Amino acid sequence: MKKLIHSLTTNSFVRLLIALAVVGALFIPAVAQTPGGTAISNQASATYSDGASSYTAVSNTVTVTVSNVSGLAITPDAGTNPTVVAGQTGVLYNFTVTNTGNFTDQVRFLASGASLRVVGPGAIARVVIDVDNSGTINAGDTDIKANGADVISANMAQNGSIHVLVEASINAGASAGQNVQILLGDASAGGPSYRRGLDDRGDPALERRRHHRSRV
Amino acid sequence: MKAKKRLRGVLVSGVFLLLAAGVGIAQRHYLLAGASRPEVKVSLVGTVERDSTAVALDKAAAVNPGEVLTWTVDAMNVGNAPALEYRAVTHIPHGTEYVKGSAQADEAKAVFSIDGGKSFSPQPMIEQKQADGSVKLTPAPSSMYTSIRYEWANPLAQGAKVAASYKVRVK
Repeated sequence: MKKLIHSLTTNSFVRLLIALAVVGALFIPAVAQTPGGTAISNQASATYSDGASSYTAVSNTVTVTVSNVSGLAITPDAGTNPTVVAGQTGVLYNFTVTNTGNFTDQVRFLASGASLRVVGPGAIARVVIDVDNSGTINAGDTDIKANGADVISANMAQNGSIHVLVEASINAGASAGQNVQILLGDASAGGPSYRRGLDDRGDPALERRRHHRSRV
Repeated sequence: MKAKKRLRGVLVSGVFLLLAAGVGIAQRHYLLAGASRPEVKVSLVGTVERDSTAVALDKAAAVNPGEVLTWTVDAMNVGNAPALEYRAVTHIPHGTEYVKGSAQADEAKAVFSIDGGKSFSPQPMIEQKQADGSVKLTPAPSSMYTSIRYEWANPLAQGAKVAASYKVRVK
């Protein structure tokens, strides 16, 4: 009984984490940044009189440009966090990668699937960029697990996103209550890397890692 | 024939004299008008705050989203009469939003516009639809402000300087 309660609490915690990540994703469009390269231009004017006539004056114009700033948000899709059993294959996890920067950018996925990691009794079978947004792995998708060299994503417009599908299998020897975690991103923790665009000239502090977790 | 030539000479001289007199009168008028005319020179300075230091925008290569810019409008009356009803109008540039409460000026009151400078008010209001379908006037959020007008009650005396400033955040 005690074990059951513990299990429920853990499950609630996992759900809470996922919910928070999704809320974060929903807020992204609300803080849309001024596009990089926008000219901010300003000029003041004035009016005054001598009691009989009115006069106007204008100031000099000051112009400055908005710089390109990179930003990425990775969110697990809470709707596809499957329940699994030992020995199961073809378990699909869906990540959403959103360009939260202020210019059209690309994402670099490291060679040989190094941008992904599995924790727990599972193995990653296939990982793709879901090019056709079908939610399933098919011929048109870009392989980022068996890739010999880094893969650069297609251009992502400001606030645009791509999906990464991860197909995993659960070890036959996995015991009930164990968690299988799929991680995407985060070079700073010594794990797999998730890199930003080639022409990135912005703040380098925005690398993120997100995971999906399933309970056996 | 000689008499005709002489007459023409007198006429030409007369026209020249009239022209010269006209120019002289015009110049005197101009000088008189200049003597009582206010003339306000207005200049705009933009800075961005970095590491607690104000960096002039013409020295900053670019600004980043989230950074706060300070705009200062300096005015000096270089004319030789007081400038009455002096008002300065400034704008919230595209790509930025006004930082609430940041408008400051020497002895002037600030009024705000949310319609591109067509109308100004100390507190612009907007219509907001309520849950029950009714419409209520509520203060417009400062992010909607488009222009600021500073109004001086006292004349800007000859040689006097005033300054007004405000801050915007790069969106």
